[in-house]
Amino acid sequence: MRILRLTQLWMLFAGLVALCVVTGSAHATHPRPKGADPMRLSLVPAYSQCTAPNRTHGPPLAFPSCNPPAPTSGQATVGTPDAFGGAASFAGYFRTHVFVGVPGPPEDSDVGLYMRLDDVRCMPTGARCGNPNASGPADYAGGTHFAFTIRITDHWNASTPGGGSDPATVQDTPIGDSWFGQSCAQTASTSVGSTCNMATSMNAFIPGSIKDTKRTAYEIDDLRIYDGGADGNGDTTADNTVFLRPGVFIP
Amino acid sequence: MRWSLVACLAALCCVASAQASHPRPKGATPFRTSLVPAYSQCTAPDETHGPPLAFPSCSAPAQTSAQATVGTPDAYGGSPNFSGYFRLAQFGGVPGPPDDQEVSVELSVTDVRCAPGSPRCASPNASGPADYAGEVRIVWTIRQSDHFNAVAPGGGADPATVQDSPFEVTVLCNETSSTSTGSACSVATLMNAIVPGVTKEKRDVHGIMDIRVDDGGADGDGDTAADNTVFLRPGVFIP
Repeated sequence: MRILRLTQLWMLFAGLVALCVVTGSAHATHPRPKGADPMRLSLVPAYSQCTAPNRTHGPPLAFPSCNPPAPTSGQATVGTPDAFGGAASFAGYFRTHVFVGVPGPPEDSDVGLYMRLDDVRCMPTGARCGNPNASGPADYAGGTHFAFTIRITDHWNASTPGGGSDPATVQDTPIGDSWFGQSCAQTASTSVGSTCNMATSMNAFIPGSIKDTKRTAYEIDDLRIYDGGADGNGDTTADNTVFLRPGVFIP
Repeated sequence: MRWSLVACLAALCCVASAQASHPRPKGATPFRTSLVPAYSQCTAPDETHGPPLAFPSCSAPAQTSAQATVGTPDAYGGSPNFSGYFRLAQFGGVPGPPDDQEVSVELSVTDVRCAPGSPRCASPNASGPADYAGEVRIVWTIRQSDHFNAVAPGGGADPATVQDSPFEVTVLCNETSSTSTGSACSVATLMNAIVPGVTKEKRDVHGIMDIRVDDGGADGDGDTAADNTVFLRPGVFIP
């Protein structure tokens, strides 16, 4: 009898330990920063990857290179005197800003998304040429569309759909496939192309996507700004091509 | 005679094509990204994220770094004091010799702790993991389109897009005497100081991709990259 009780006690103890381990594992949290913000990414025209080199770059970065450079956008470009003409006046950036909400309802945390593109011209061979300019291509008549990939690690997961408090890393998620189309505005000036400006937020585009106190780390990768394709519509993504990527310009 | 003329025109076209330039901005600077701890990709999901981003997820988030982490009360302990950023900024440059274009390179990472079980643990802290002892290595990929190419090696005036290539900077982390703060890994330098002669007045559209900060591996040496693991990636944090 005494032996049986001891065995039962050990089994009960082992069961409790196992339960604690499982619970602890499900609720084990994730290392995270004090803060991470802002991102301010300057933008440059995107070029195709060099896969069949016919030149060599000068030293010290003496790598194989491809002549001529091939912009990836079929619809949008920027003024450049010795390319398609016009002054080199394009400048652009993409920026994020985290708004930290007050814990508790309502959910008032958010991530601001800002983009500014000045002097966007149409690709001369494209279908989106609007107001002509005195030199260089006409204003770009169409929209843009931006996209990036996020890897979310937060406390808003559960084994059943609907959300919960478990920490987890979400499968890599493309953001922007159908959410982030923006229109560009042509200018009356004959020396400046279109402007494509945006000031919005994640919650404006995807209501409820940013929540309070979920300790959300968003790893952000592969930002691309697309043109609107032959139809000029950033939301119909099948024909959009990459216009800009993050980078710096060394004159 | 006619064929000679055609040949001359064809040659001129070829030259024009070789010299054709590339669309470029007026300027593109600065470039700044905040950094967050990197986690392994979720490949075998066992949970679901809450709506509206209700995608499959993997419980027990797994940091990709085997050597470095950050303080977090309900993870390994310690206050969440980590913050970090990576910044590039173009400046200077009067056209003509000397080549005085520059791009500053800044990395600032504070309160870096060693991952429990790592051989890179140094000065202990009152709570949470000890200071990280070793180097980190910032790595990014560049896609250059500029006017410094030729058929023969040595450089020339042809515009071209260069094959994607990595750019890397190793940064020493300094332990702190504080028992509440981990190591600091910071550098403020110039691209020309890292690779002399790398920034020239060549209309360089310098695309930047795939930024990451690796730890120094088990040996703590950022330059011996085989055992390095990814510690940080660009991102934002919403508390």
